[in-house]
Amino acid sequence: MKDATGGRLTLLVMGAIESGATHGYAIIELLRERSGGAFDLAEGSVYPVLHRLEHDGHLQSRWSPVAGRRRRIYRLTAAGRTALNAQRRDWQTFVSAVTAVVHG
Amino acid sequence: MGDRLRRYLAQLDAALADDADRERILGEVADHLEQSVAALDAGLGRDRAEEMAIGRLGRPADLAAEFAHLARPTPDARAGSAGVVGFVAVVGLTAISAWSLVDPDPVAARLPRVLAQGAAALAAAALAVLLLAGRWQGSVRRVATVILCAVVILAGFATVIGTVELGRTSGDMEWYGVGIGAALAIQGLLGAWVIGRTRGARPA
Repeated sequence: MKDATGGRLTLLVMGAIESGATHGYAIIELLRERSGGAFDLAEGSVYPVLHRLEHDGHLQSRWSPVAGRRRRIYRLTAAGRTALNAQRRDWQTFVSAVTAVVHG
Repeated sequence: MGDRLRRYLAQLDAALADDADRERILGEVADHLEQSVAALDAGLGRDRAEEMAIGRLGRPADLAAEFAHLARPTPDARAGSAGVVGFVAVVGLTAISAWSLVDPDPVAARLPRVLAQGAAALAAAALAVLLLAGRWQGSVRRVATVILCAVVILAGFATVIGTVELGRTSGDMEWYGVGIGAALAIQGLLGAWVIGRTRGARPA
């Protein structure tokens, strides 16, 4: 599937969850809205990322009843918050370096 | 839920094959589609909304492939080491058993028992690492782990029976041996149960 996020989908998904998006559709909507439509990604690509993050211990999930339906709710674990902060630092370093080069 | 969504979910169901998380994935995708259609419905109409929601999600085969990629075991040093240790343990157990049969010397007869317990413990440790690492999926590793379970179970029961029999004849029951044997048997049985319960599962 096409990755419109430059390989940063993991960081974005964890950031979206920290911002309050708790399930797949909400995460996708948050990414779309906050990026001004730039991250109009193949929506199916988010779910494997969620599953992988949970497998890696960065997320926990459970089913929650919502209006007669079941919804899978995600939340960051302590390890997930640590990983998110580390990825944020890496991203800031990367952006600063590129900015310094491109803008002199 | 409309026919178009049901068809999509049926195709995804088929594409996911024997993925142990199939029910969970289908539940999440169904919920996603319902929300997506509800959001798009107001402006587009139900039929067009369903078409667009499906288009945004991607083809069922592509989505299933993403999950299958997740489930595929990757090379893991711990699993490799555990496999080597388990292999050595199995070979050791076989060799020791053969030696005990051909050499009736009392020293040799006692030494193999100690070594056999050590080899059984190594096999148990290898099984524990494989199970904890979650790298026992995939046909070859799965079969190897099932065999390891069988070895550990047999080693456990053999240790219990052998220790009880020895204690009965010598009048000196070594209860630690019974405990070790029971622990081995339980571990092997638990390992087999875990594997049976999670057929086709991804590491978890």
